[in-house]
Amino acid sequence: MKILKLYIKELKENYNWMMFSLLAVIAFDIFLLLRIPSMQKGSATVLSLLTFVVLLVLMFVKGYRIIKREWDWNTKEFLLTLPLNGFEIALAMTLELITEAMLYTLVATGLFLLILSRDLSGIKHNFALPLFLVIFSYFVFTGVYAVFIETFSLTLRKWRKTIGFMVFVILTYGLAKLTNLLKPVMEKLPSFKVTIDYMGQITFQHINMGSFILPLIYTVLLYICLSLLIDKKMEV
Amino acid sequence: MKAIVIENLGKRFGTLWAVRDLSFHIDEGKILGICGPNGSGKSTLLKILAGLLRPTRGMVKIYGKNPSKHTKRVVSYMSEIDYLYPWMKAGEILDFAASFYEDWDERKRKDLVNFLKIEEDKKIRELSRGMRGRLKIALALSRRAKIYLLDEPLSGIDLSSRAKILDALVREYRGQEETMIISTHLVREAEPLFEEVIFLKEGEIILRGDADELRETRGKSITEIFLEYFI
Repeated sequence: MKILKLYIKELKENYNWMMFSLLAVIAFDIFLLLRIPSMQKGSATVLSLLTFVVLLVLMFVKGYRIIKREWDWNTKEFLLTLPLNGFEIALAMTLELITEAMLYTLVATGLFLLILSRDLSGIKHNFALPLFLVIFSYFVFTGVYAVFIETFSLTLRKWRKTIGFMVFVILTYGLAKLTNLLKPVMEKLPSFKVTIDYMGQITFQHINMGSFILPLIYTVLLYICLSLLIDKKMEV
Repeated sequence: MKAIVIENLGKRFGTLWAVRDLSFHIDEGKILGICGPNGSGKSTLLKILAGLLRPTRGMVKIYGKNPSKHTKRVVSYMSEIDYLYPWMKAGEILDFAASFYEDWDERKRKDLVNFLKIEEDKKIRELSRGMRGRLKIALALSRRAKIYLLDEPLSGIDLSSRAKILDALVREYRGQEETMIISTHLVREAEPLFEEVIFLKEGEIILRGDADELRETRGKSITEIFLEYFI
């Protein structure tokens, strides 16, 4: 119940940011939709993929701001005097990021598929669900990753930005290496069989479940580390 | 019964000790005044008790427990700084806080809002500094907490209302078993409330005692003793 209250507070606090991001994405995709007739076939679809990249960057900025704002507004003292532990505070923040990621993924995937169907009329496919899951897992991971990096730097008293950036670089490199190491394990997981039929030309693809399970596993690990950081290291 | 026990407490920021070797205890139901100039360690001590800072060394016990989520349930802390969400309305922040504390007293809240003339429908960012100070007081005292930690509760409140507000708050809105620690450098206004006093200088206790005893033995008010030590 208390976590829910904090989660609602986070949602209210981020409402304007969320609406602005979504409206910007919708406006961009409407522009692409209107331009389709005059564009080369397929180009609007490729361009609409850009919105995923933009939203991924926005998720990072959002994750960074969610804890930084408590410091900028001095509300960290209010937040940390609430009778909650690190796991509960981190959970409320993570739930807010999941909600935002879900909304972004729904809107961006929906618009992408709409543009695809207009841009390449006659295309038949079954990749909507795997596409949604992969994008969603990366959005959530990116948001929680940013919260973790910023929280870590806020637990330091000196060289916050420099050390924070170094941790970001090292962790990014480490996770990339770990992903490579785990590749053989992930390949053993089942795959989504994707069929794309465009004007009678049929293509088969396999999207491994690891491509969205792994980011979610990293998210859970980062969430645990984030909770411990708040509990054991965070001071005002 | 001892509400708070502190032994050899020290807190260091980099190479600077904000508080060092503090040892004392506070009995339940007492009002303790912590007085000292800026930078003497008053806020650091209160933040350690509120669980916002961790001691570098020493021990702090609140009803026998280390500061944690559990002690935050019984401790009501009011910060010296503006620490309220600026986008919330005054009423919203009171509702928000109410949902976290089992000891929240809705009747006390209404009385305090009326007494302090708080406009609940105004956003915090639109409130004057004095009104934000009053809101912080209402927020801290609307609970039936076992311990209140008030860090510079008079800052931002106009001179003419300070004594009246502080007196009414402590006498009207505090239960007999509730312990209160008030940190302030405005000793003159707060002096009548103190039952015990601690003077802090550069993180160390330079004077500690029962307020009435100090007045009697030295034949001076706490304010005069304070001025003697710090000017």
